[in-house]
Amino acid sequence: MENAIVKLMLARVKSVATVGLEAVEVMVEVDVAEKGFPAFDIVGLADKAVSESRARVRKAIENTGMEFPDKRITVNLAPANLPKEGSNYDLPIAVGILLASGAIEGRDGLSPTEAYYYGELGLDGSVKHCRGVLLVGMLARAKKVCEVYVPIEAASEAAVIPGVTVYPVRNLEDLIRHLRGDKFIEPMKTLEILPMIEDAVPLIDMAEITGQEVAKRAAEISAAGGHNLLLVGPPGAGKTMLAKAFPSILPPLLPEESLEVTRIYSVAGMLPTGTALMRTRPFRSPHHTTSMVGLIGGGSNPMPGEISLSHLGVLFLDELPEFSRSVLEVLRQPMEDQTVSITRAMGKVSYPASFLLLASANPCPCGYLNHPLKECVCGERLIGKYRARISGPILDRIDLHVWVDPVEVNKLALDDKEINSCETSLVVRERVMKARERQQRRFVKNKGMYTNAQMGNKQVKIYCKLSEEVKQFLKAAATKYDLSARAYFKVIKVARTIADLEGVQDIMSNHIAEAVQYRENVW
Amino acid sequence: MGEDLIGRDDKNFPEKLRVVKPVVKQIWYRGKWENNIFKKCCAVVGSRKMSRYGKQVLAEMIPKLCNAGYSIVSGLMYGVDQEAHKLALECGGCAIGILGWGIEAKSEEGADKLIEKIVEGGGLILSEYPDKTSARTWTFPQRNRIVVALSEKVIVVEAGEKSGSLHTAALARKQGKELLAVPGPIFSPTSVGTNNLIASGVAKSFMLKNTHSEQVQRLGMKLNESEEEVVGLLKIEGPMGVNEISRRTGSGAGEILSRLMKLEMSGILSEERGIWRML
Repeated sequence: MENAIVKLMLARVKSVATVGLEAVEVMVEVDVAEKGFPAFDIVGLADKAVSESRARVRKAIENTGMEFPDKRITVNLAPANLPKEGSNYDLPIAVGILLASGAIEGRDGLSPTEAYYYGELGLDGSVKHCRGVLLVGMLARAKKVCEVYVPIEAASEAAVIPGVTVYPVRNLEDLIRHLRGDKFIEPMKTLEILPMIEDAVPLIDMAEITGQEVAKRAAEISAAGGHNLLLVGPPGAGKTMLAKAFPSILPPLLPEESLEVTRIYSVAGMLPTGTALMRTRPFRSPHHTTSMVGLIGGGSNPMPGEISLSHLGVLFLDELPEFSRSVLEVLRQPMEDQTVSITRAMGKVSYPASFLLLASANPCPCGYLNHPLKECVCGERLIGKYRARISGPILDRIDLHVWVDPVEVNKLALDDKEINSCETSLVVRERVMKARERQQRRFVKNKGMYTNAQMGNKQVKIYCKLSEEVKQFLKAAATKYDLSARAYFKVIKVARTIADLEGVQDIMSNHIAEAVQYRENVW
Repeated sequence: MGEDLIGRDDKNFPEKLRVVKPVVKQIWYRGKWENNIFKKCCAVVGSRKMSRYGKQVLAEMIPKLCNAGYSIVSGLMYGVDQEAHKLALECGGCAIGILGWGIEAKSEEGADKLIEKIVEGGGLILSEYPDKTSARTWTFPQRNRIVVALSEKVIVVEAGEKSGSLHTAALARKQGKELLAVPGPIFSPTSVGTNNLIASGVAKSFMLKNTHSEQVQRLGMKLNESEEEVVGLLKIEGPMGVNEISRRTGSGAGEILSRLMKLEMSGILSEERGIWRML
């Protein structure tokens, strides 16, 4: 070491802790004392991952070719009453030790510039990907801290925040050189959000799905009005494929929405390495063995569940009756409130959960009920039992119920022209966006209401005025199809969306007629 | 629970049951025993897997039978049997249910509730098995001979190729009763048995007398061009799914759904699991 004379023994380095979707500034205080038995302690409600950082930091410093001070080292993570977890304190602790021992020159024990340090260290001194980097960038902007040092693999997450200089750190050695002023790390260029969203390519385009005109139409209405959708049909009918194509007809994410979604994925550590942003609406398809916690979120330090991961996107529950009933029931409250609060020992956290529910089911356990070619082998009682697995309250929250025919291969293969003439997702999306605009104008005074599906009975009465003739028609339909009061309102809401898609102000009888076809009839 | 026994020697023992073989020694019953109830009986039997078509037929058939003074006899199985009884009760008719298990045995849930309703509605529940005899594979065919014996008419509403209802039909023939079967779509697996009965000449074809004229009347209704297009297509090509109708007519699915619903409201078309057909 060049600086043999050590004057300062206390260093302070800023880092960030994440609590749910919020970030909190953490001051990492490092004291390197001449007196006392050599030791290395970390205090400040640190969990196992944080206290293990002692071994990582020591080895990383040594393997970078520096000397690890053989002194009494005390690290405090302030505020000391906030529980800290994760491996992201490795980097600030290492920097703090180097500052306190004088290996790096700072200003009065502070880092040379005001900055956030965030990252996990490997034993060789490399800086590794860790979750929540976007939140570091966001907090830096809010607190007007101009610089952040984050792992190179996750640096693009923070680079979408304008006004913050993001230094991608490859390893401890690069960082030391940078802080000493020997060789500077090239900061990230700020990434523009909008072009990235516009460049996004959907998973499957609607045009790739042949036939299934009714199901596609229902998907369009669902996307336009935010109505939850249930597809019932035999195996192989194309329910899953349709679901996968569904996000492509939803309006593209707004830049703020994209950040909101990315934040959840960043906290969950689910952004793929090198990805800056969630560019498309999320599509989550949890397996039917998923637990309650997996679905709504939880854990001792609560993590977002599937419903939050599908925030502003689509939650697809394939084989809905196979999900355990208790798991499905927990969906009810978040579906109403569009947010979920989880209380655990480590604190209470709220995650947003405004998703569109897309569900699919077979008509019976064997799947071939009313199949044109295969015979169903299920008895009526077995079918009854199967049906009962989905509770009424869940079905109530689904506005569109659609029967999906099995694909008639022979009919489709003959006519290639028809297949090629299918509408692309972009065309459908145009209509969906127009319909959404109409809704936004309609609900301008209703805070937090964006789509027809969110209307309560009160709003239905205000915004869905029916002419006398249409009212009579609906009444006749309600009698004929034995519609309950709730089903009656659902029909009106869906009819409102159909009219919006058509760009018509008044709901007419043909809108009602179509809406009635999506009633709870297939389950 | 109020079950009673009536023996073969009792003067109230139905005359019709004395002639049946194997001999019916005694009958346990629930409900109020009145000989009048056996005066004019019609058995309505059919598949456990009732289709919507079967349901539709029953909805037309049962009120007419009840109005004509028939008591509806059936076997209380789920599907056609139970539906027939439910409808009979709804239109104020008499229902006689013959159990394939002991009079005190607990039936499955659906049947249990129906039994209570039949008793409340002045109908009768009969069984030749005492106490809590549980149902066996052989008790059902045995029970069928009583169903047939009590009735002068036996109507098979829906039956698959190997349906138990065909056993009832065979008994009806043996006992010399009038046997009717409801013709069904040739594609429907639940109508294979009934169609076979008609084709082989064993059963007469059950027809609702005014169906034809009603249909003619309905079709006399004024349809607009676009409705005509759909009706015409279904008339010529037979039952079809919405997707196909949409493809054939070149109109969007939403538009077609709306048209179909209006035609269903007018009673011209009906739908089952996405397949539309002329009524």
